[in-house]
Amino acid sequence: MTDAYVIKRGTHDSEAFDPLKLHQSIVAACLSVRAFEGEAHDTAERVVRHVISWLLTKTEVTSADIRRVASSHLHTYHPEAAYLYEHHQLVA
Amino acid sequence: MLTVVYSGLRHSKKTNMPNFDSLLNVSPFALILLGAVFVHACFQLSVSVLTLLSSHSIGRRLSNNRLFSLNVWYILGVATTIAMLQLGAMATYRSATSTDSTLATVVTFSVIPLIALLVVFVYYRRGRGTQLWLPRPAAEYITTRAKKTKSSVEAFALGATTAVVELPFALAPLAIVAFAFQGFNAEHWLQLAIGYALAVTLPLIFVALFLSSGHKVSSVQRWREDAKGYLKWTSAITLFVLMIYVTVLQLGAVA
Repeated sequence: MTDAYVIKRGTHDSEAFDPLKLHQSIVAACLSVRAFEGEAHDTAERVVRHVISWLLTKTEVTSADIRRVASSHLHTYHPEAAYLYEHHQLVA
Repeated sequence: MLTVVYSGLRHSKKTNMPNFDSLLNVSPFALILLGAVFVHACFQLSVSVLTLLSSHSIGRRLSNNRLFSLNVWYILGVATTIAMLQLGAMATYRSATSTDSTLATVVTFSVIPLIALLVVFVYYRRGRGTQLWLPRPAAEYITTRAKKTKSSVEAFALGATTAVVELPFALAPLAIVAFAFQGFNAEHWLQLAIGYALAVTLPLIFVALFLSSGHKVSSVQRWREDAKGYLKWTSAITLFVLMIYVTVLQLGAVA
């Protein structure tokens, strides 16, 4: 498991990386593009594994870094969900 | 709506424009209305929020019927607020022209080109996505509200808020319609405002139907991203053309 800390956007507060939180956000992105629930959880699990292995060598990252890395891996498994995941904060 | 426009003009008591009495002469007013509706419908904040609302609702595994119901309440919120704003604009113009019509004309013709320029240079932020001019804390607040919206009342209030927040830009088409129809008989104001609001919300109705019929939010967002340059330029150019058109009609009326 990783001990990396995540600096949050806006508040700049730092908190321990929570894989469950990342998992849920990826599941939400997959479900938003009408993926099946099982498929969404499988995809999220794979992406979170990739992010955790990337975090092993890091001590502190920003939430934007996590979003970037997660979306690049999500693109491999579910391009539509990756598009929405990337653009979530660029909609309004 | 054309019937309303026509009958309203027949009964108009005082207008800066000619009080036309033939069906052929109704077309300038219909064109102004059509142009203003087009410009207003090009503004994207309400579509952005509808996209966010739908995205979060689908993510929560809501049924298509429930999604449609939330979207309908949201659109009703937008339409009601636009109708009220249009009524307010018409009442303001009526009261302003009763004392000094020159001031109303000067304000209208200085604000509209300014808003047209702002549409080109400020409305969309540069870069990827469809980020709008909104200050980031305001955009984050609206995004959070869209995420937390679960009931019909919340959806209605979100729609109303969105229409008000869009006001700095929506002021231009609202002002053009209010200016052109200031001599309109007051008994037809409500019909005109409701017709205008419904026409402006047509893109929202289309998006709501599209998403409720099982399509993906990402396809709407992709289209919006591809079309943002087109929407920006056409709405700004239409605003300029409308302003020139109304000026020509004004000059024609004076001559």
